[in-house]
Amino acid sequence: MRLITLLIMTCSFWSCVKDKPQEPGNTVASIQADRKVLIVNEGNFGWGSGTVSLYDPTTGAIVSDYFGQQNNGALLGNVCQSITRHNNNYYVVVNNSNKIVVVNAENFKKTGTINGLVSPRYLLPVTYNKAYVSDLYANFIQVLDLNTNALSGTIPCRNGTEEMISIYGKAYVSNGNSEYCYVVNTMNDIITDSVLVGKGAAGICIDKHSKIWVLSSGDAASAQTGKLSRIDPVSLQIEASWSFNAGESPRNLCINKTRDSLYFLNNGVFQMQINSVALPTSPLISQGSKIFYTLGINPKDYTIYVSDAVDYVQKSKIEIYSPNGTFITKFNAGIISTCFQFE
Amino acid sequence: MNCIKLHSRVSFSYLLLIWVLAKTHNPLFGQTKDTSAHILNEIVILENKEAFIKDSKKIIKMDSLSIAHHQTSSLTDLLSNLSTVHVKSYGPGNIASTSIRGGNSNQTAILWNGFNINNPALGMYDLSLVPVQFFDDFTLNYGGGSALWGSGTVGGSIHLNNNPSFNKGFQSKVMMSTGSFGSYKMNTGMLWSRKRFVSNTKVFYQSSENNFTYKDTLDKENQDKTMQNASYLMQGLMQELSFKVNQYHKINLRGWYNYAFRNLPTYFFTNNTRNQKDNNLKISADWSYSRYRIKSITRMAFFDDKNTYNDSLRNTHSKNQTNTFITENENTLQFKNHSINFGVNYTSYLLRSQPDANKAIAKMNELNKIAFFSSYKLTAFHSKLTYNASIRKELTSLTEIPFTGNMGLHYKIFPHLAAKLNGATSYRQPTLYDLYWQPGGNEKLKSEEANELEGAFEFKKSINNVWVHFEATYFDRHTKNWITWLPSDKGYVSPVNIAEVYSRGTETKSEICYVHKNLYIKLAINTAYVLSTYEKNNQENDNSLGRQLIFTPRYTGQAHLLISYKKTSFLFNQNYTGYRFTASDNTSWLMPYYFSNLKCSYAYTIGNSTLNIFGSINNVFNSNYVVMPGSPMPFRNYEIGLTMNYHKPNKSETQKP
Repeated sequence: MRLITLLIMTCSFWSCVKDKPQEPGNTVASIQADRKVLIVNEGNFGWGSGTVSLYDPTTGAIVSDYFGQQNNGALLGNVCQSITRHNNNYYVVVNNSNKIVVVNAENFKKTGTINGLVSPRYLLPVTYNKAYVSDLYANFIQVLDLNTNALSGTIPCRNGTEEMISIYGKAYVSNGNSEYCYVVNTMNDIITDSVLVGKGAAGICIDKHSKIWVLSSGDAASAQTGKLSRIDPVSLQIEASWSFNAGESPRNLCINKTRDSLYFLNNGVFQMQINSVALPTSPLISQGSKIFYTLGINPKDYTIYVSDAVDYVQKSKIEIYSPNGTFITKFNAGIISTCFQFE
Repeated sequence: MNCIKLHSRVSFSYLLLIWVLAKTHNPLFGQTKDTSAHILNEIVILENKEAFIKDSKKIIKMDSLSIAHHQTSSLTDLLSNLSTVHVKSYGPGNIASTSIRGGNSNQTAILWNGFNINNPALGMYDLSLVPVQFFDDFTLNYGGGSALWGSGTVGGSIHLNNNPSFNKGFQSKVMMSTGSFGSYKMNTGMLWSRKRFVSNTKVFYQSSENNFTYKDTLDKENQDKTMQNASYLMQGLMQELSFKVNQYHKINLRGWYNYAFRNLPTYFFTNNTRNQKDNNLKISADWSYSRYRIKSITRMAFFDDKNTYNDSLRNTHSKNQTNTFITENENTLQFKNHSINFGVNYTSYLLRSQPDANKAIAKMNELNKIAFFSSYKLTAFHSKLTYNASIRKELTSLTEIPFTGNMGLHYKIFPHLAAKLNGATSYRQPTLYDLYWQPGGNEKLKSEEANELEGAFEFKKSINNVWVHFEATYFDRHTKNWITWLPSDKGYVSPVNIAEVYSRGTETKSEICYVHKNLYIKLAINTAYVLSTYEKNNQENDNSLGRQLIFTPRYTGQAHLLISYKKTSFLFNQNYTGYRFTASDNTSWLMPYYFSNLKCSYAYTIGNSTLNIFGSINNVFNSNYVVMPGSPMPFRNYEIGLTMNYHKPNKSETQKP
């Protein structure tokens, strides 16, 4: 009987583990470092808070939640989408919280919040005190007054606007739901033209010849394949375009510092010279079983940063590769790393 | 020794019977029917195939008095308050699902009189859509049970049963209550119970503004907030008809309709308007034949589940409708101490989904399956040993389903101490959305498969007026082909059989009851310690190996005290849920939480009528907590109500000694 009692007691307290998780240790990294990388992490849609991580490539130090560290543990909000530097401020776009958090570029202290947005994605400064904000669900591009952080107007268009660039007094706005890339006159905030680039456009950049490159992912429902287009900003004609294979979903178009080499994700990291006549057939960096989520090219040293979202519910792994695709190092950032800001 | 065992069993049963009879003749807050059912259930449950494995597995049956205190609640509250089942609730009235023994909500089957009512598209049932007052008993089966119940019974199963009582006369009930946050509830019921015919009608209605205040610990600048866009309205009807054709034949017909309209709050972050509408119709019929040592039950059911979801921001208006048709024949033969059960089950699912109601595209998919099952039970050594074995093979038009089985032993080591050992294989078939969702559905998915072993010691003893029951269980389960939705290289998410999970832990159940004249006291303490960890790295950067599954607490504990004296009854429960990780690498988590509820009632009887006043204080100690991230729960809140019962017994019933 005693033996049985002992067995019962043993069963009741079977090698219990301590319930309280171990708090992560604080790492020191400074935004004043010469080289630093800010990494925007989305957090889980609906229930997690997005974060901004700070990475110092010199020492390898990482601060997982740099905004929280500099703002007494405050949270940014749900689904951080992008970060833009302008006028000694960073503008952190927080998509599902419908806001943009403004922080001082020197110390990352919060200086303001721009509320009242619908589902913001990216911010593009078009003049010293004016910016456009693309939006996933609003049927317009939001115009911001950066002096007052107030919403100053809208530019009607179809919802689904994504990345934007500006050149020669015009802004080029990609749109994931439309087949067109919009051309906006930044003086009067009016769409003056549009260019057919295919469905699912999200990535846009300018090369060293001031040509505009737009990458569209395609749309399986309407059987449209992905497409890479080069636009002449003067004539607004497509000079060249390349179609991807059916079933491929290319995204995250980037360009290096000298603006002569394009990079994008397509089940791996691909590199393409701007004077190339065909799409690359093999990846510079293979994805393998990883889930490459976003891409960035460090203008300081041409290194390639790619985030692996793993299973989307754990910290992303940031992998760094040399320009020729050789692995250098990797580290953990936050959940679903989506954007790099190199300083 | 056997004499002592028999004496203690008889003495407790006698005490319980005396107490129940006392209640029957002095109806207390309309619980006359419930307490009677408590005795009747012991007979009814033996007729089901569940009885074949009940000795060797952990099974908890909710007591009728505790259920009576939750007559205006949903299954969400009943399980949260009175069990260690982790109920993943997104707030009052909002969607709620379960986690039993480290499994997810798809791995818990909800069965209504033996029919699996999990939505075949989602693979789960929303516990908030189950009104407690519609059912006579609630039973929790822990661990794998696919050999009996088929797909989805991996972590456990929850059984909702209706047990018609013949020859009870006429009873009617009207129950009304009001509570915090603009909540109104009304239940009515009418039972007409003759010798060979029973008609039982139950109706419920409830609505709530649900605009409670909460403290948003994630928003340090503006912590005090009020819940917006969380109102809900639910109503339902259940009609039961039972016929005793003769002493051998019995027929039951049941219909259950539920309607729910819920605004879905967007909590901390967003400001769009979302709502969900559910229409659920369930119809079932069963015919049972019982003569000599043969029992046969043939049952059929049809379910029509409609769901509409609207999201103003995303301009999403989706609709889906699933139809389920089940027919089953089950036979039991008993010969001396041997029992054999065998049968066949045919189930057909039809899914109509319209991802965007603005577009006239409705996808239709179907899945049919047929299952053959059999169980054997042996009782030996003067009932000291019970042995059971069950097998089930299911064939389907799409995914392959493994052979499943169950084998168990129950052995009384001493008169008051028994040992249990049970081994089970179980599976979870992919849901219709796993298979057919566009884009991303994967028709090549395999079923999740689990192997589980559990062992337990059970101590039961009654001394004079005191009854003690203690049970300690250890379980160990490996699950492979665990389905997870992951982004594919095609730009959308798709389900894959990728994870392997090892779940193990201990559970304890401790109950002590005291019965004396009009006094009944019961103290129950339940604990669960569950480790459920990922056993396979999916890729080189995966850091989840050996880590606890997200939203799965390692520690849960629950205690409740029930005191009933003459016309007054109290129920107090205290619950604890430990840390739940929100990241699979266990780097972020939700804090543990406690909550307590106090429910009381007082009954006043005039002739055949009983007036019962009841009230409850929920979250007595004003705990600020969330069960799921971004879903705050209300602080202390109240409910007060009134029940009017009328009971006119049949003449034959009143003439009983």
